[in-house]
Amino acid sequence: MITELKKRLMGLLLCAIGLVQAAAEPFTSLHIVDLDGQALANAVVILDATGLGAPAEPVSGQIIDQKDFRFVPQVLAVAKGSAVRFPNSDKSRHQVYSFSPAKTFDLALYGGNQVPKVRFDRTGLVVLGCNIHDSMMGFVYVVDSGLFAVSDTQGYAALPAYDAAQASQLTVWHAQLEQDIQLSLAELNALLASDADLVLPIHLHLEAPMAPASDLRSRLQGYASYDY
Amino acid sequence: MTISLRSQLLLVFLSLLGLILIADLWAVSLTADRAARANATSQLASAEQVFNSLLAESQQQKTYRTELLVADFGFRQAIATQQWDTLGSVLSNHGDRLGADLIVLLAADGDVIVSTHNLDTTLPLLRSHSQSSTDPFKGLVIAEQQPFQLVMVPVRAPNLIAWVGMGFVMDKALVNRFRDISNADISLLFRGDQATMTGGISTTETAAWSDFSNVNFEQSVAEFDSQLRDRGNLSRQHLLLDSNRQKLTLVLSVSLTEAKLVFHAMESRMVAISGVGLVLAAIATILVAGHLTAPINRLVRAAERIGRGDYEPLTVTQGSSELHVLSDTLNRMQRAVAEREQYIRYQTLHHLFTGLPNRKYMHELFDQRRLDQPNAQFAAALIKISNFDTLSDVYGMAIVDQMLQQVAQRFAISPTPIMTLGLIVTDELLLFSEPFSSSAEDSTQGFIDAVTLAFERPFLCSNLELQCEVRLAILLCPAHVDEFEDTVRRARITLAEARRTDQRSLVYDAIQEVRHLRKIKVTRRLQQALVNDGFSLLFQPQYDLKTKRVYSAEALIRWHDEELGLMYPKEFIPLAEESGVICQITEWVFTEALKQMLSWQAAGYRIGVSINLSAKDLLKDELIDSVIRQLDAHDGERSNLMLEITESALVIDAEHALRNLQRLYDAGVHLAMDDFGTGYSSLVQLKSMPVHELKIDKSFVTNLCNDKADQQIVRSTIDMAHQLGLTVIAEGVESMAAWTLLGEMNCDSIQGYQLSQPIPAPDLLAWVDQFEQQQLTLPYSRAQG
Repeated sequence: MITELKKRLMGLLLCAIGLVQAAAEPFTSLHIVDLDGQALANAVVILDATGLGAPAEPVSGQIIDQKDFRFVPQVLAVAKGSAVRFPNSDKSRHQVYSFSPAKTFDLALYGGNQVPKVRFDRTGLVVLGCNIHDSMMGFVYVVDSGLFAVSDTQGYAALPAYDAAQASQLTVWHAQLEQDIQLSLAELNALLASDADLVLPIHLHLEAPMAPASDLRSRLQGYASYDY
Repeated sequence: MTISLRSQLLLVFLSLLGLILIADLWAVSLTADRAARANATSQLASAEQVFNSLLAESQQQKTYRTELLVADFGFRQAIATQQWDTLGSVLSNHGDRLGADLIVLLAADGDVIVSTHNLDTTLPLLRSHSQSSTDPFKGLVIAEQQPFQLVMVPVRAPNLIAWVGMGFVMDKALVNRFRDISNADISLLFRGDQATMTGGISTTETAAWSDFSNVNFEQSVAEFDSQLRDRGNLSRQHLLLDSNRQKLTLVLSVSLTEAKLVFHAMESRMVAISGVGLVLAAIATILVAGHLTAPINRLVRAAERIGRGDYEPLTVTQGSSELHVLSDTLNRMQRAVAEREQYIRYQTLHHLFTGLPNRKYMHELFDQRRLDQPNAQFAAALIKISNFDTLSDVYGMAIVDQMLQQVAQRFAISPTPIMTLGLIVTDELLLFSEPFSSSAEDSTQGFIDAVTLAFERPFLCSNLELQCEVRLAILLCPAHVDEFEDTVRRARITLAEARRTDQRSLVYDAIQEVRHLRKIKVTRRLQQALVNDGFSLLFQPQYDLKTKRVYSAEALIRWHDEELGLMYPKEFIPLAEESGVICQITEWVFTEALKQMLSWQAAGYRIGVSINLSAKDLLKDELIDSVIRQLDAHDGERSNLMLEITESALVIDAEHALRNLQRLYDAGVHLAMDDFGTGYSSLVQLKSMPVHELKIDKSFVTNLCNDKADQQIVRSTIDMAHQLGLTVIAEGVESMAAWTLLGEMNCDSIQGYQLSQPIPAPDLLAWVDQFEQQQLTLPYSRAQG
């Protein structure tokens, strides 16, 4: 049983993005799907360890890039106190801002990488936008537990190893969920033991939250009198 | 063709009402049409106002929103970067926020920095605005064959750094929304930089827009407009844009058909009301007509009844007073008609002056009796008043009428069984007895006695005593006769027989009618024979005892009829005399005999002819004229012609007969008195008559040899005749002894079977030759031929 888990862990490690902690072995992987059985990416899972285990250490050097008028990655989970950089890989300038209580900020119109880091000192969800590109939307989920993960494009979230003493419950967030979902440890264990999917009560918008590139923008190319 | 009153009333009222209703409907329809048109027109006018204000409001709103967007700091900051990607993305981003379809960014100096559409024909307008004003621009433009609402606002930071134009395509959704508000169909026809292409947007079904692509935009619009009108629309145009080859026309239209729909309901109600009105009017008319015609029909039936002779009084219980007057008048009229009819009926059935039943009355009475009592036997008497002419000549008709009335009274109070007397001809009365109760023979005799008795006493009229002489013919019905007309006819035959036999009364005998019918037939056939040349002549030779030669022959007529067979003069000559054809027969005999005599003489025989003239012939001047004329034509032969006449010729009109006799005598014709010694012959007549010869009747000659008295008469007659200078011929000589005796008596000539029976003309000459041959060889013997 254990050897099996190891093998799976090794596979998952290779493709895991946003692995924030090189946790002690063993750690487990959760598969998250919507009501249609479609894999849900960008779901954040947190093992609530408040007061039970050591909080996660802040990590520097994390980035959310802006590429093709999108935030990449769209969802980023960080430990409280972490600083995130918002480089701009587009030719267009962006004005990244947030009005979220967890972190309010406004990065005046900028291009390239000449923008200061933003430190997230308070836990909670921070919704990111661009003032001049309404279709752009991104999320930074600030946690103080050391046990969390973001599901990949296949819907897999790789949970670090934990024990019952460390964690009391599992919290699941997804942008389309109206509110976070809480799972007791027993429920989580049962789920894991049966190797079942974690089904969220939503239907995934395939496009959401991404808007298609505006027709106007492509047309504007044609009649530009200046070559920028 | 006659139309009933009801139909006339219906026709008049319904057609009048119908005309009024049709005129009403027409007027309503016309008004509705006008109202619908007027409504549609005002609807269009208000729709245009609505459209204009909607457009203005929409542009104003878009201007505000664009201004608001442009005021966004990030936007201004992005514009200010003058960096393409930022500019492009922010413009499109904000354009999306507004829902714009067209974006143009102009530099402060009016040059186009960036644009979503080709705005070559619009730019001059925008540029001139940007150079002359700092206020937002609002207007309609055509770009790339699409109409846009375009608002352009300045971007200030804080100085004017650019103009941002946002265009909103005017599409089907927009016109549909406007249509919903304005209640009129909206069409936009436009033309941009492409000179011949006309584009359009419409809330109505239209043909392909390329169909309207005329070189001339106005013509395209007109074409479109006419199509709208063809589909029953009313339209209104408004030119919204006309600049720099860009044209945009608003065409508003409403369906007249729909506008009229409201009125259609009204018209339908109107038609329904009219229909009900017509039906009610028809019912009312029928009722009124019925009210009018019912009494009229009753009067018509009453009039028909009166026409049939039924004079029951009639009453009209309902209807107008005029009808009451009419019914009263009809009642009076029918009373008058009834009275007049009674009077006329009386007159048609009674003699005007005496009041006696007339022939028609008697006829009806007869028929009625035969019908009521077919087996009852009764007698009918035809009473001829034989002295009627004398009475009426002497006393006048009025007196005779009085007498006839008294006759009727006498029969009315007669104790004999009741009889009915009618005056059927002026001088003939017809009397029917009541049906016999006893044997026919006794009853008949009783009836005859009663009638005879009634006329026995004279009648006293105006103090004059009149004796009515009557002759009766009695028939028994139905033993003798069954029909009224036959009764009268047979009674007349019987009367004639009674007159002939001089009896005062005679009962009908069937033989009378047989005889009568034979007479009628013979008379009819006689006329036929005249036409068909049915007569022939025989000649009986006459021998002169002195010269011992046959000197003449008496022409004797014979008639062989197809139906009656051989007829003898003794039967048909009296009938010919009665019917008047005797003169024609005589003329034929004369002409024929004369012709025969001439042919004998031409053959060298000196033989004359003797022709009989009837008493009537002598009274016929034309016949005498004709005889003399024919004699003149054959001058010199008249001495051989002997005309025989009888003494009776002088009975009817002696003077006239003598005058004509004298004319013949003067003309040189020899005349003989035939049948001398019979009838009325008298010596006085013999003396006055101009004759040459006497013919002794055969009744004296036939038994001459054995009868001494006849011998005396003949001898003295011959002597007397000779004394008077007349010759004598004896007829009926049937023995040689009589022949010889007559010769001894100095008779001049003889005629009879002893000499020869009558022979046909062609055989006469041969007979004469033979006779003379025999006489030469056997002078005293006679050979019968």
